[in-house]
Amino acid sequence: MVVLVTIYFYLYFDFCKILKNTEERVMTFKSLALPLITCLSLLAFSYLSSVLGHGSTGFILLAISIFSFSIVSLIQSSRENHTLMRASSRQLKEAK
Amino acid sequence: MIDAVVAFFLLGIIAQLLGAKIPFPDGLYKTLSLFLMVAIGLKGGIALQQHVDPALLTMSIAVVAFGLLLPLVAYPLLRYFGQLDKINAGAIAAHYGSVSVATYAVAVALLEAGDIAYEAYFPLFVVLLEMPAILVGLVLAKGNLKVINRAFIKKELVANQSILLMVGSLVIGFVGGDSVQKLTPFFVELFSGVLALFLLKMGLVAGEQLGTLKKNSLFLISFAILMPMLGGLAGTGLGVLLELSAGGIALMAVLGASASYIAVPAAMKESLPEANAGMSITASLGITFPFNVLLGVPFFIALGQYLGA
Repeated sequence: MVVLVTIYFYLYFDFCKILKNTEERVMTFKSLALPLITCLSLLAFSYLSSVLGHGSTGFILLAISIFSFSIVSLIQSSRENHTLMRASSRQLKEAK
Repeated sequence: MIDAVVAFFLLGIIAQLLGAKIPFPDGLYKTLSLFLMVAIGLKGGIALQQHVDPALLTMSIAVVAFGLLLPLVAYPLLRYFGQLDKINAGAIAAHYGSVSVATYAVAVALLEAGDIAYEAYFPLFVVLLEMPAILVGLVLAKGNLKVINRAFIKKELVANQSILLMVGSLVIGFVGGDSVQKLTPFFVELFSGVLALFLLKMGLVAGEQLGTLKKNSLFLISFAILMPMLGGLAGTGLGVLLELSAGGIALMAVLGASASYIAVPAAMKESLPEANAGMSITASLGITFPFNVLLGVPFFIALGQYLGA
C-alpha cells in the first residue's frame, strides 16, 4: 500500500510541475484526492473482510481498478497539458 | 459463492454489455417493483404482529435522525472534491441519504437464506428513511427552508407511491390477523423468484448506465463507491447503538449504504428539474447498486454477524 501511495503522489507532483498556476494544482489535488481515499477505504474493507473470514478479492480488485483509472487519468491530463504548452510556445516563437 | 438471486443481477449486466436484446416490458418492471414493496410491507406487518417492541418509538426517532444526517456527509464531498454546484450536489446527496428497496430486498433474501434472524419492524425503518434525505437534499440545493411547503409534504410524504404501498401493506399485515395467511403463498413464497427477475432487469439497466460513463467520471465512480462504505459503517454503528440483532445490524448498515434510484429521482425531477438526473442515476444505479449487491451486502452481513454475536 505504501508503494502504491508513493507512486500516486510521485505522479501527482510530477504532473504539478507542469501546472504553474496554484489554482490548477488545487483543482487537480481535489479531483484526485477522492479516488485515493476510495482506494485506501477499499483496501481497509478488504482487510476487515479477511479478518471476518469473508472474501476480500472483490475489494482489492476494485481498489486496483480505481487506482489504475486515476493513474491513467493523471497521465492523460499530463500529456494534454504538455501538448498544449508546446503548441502555445510554438505560437509565441512564430509570433516573434 | 454467489447467491442464485444475486446471480441474476450479474446475468443482466453481462447480457447488456454483450449487447443481448432481452425484452423486458416496462409494465412488468413496474409490477415487480409494486410486488416487492407490498411483499416487504406485508412480511414486516405479519412479523411485527408477533413481536411488538416497546422501544420502537425511540428507535424510529434515531433512524429518522440518521436519514437527516447522511446527506450532510455526502454534500461536502460532492461540493469540495467533485466541485459540483449546489443544485447537483444537493440532488445527489438526497439520493445517497435515502434508501434502495431493492438493495434491502437483496439483503433480506441473503439473511433468510443464511437463517440469520432480524427484527420484524425493519420495513418501518425503510419507510422512515425514504423521506428525510429528500428534504435535506432540497434545502441544501436551494439554500433555504421555503422549499418545504404543504404541497410538497402532501405529494412526497402522503401520496408517495413507495411510502403508501409499504406503510399500507405493513398495516394490513399487522391488523389482518389470520386472513393475511391466505396471501403468504403469493407474497412470501414467490418473493425470491420475483426478486430474481427484478434483479435481472436492474442488471440490464446498470449495464446500460456503465456504458454511458464518460471520460471524466473518475470522481463519480470514486464517490459512488466511497459513500456506501461510509454510510454502511455509520449504519453499522447505529445498529450497534440500538442493540439490534446480527441481522438487524446488517440491515441498518445496508440501509445506510444504499442509494435511492426510484423514489428520489422522481421527487428531484419535480422539485429540482435543473439538476442533472443522469449523473445521480448513473452513480446510484450504475455504480452503487452493483457495488452493494455484489460486495457491500455480503460484507455488512458478515460484519453484522461478527458484531451481533
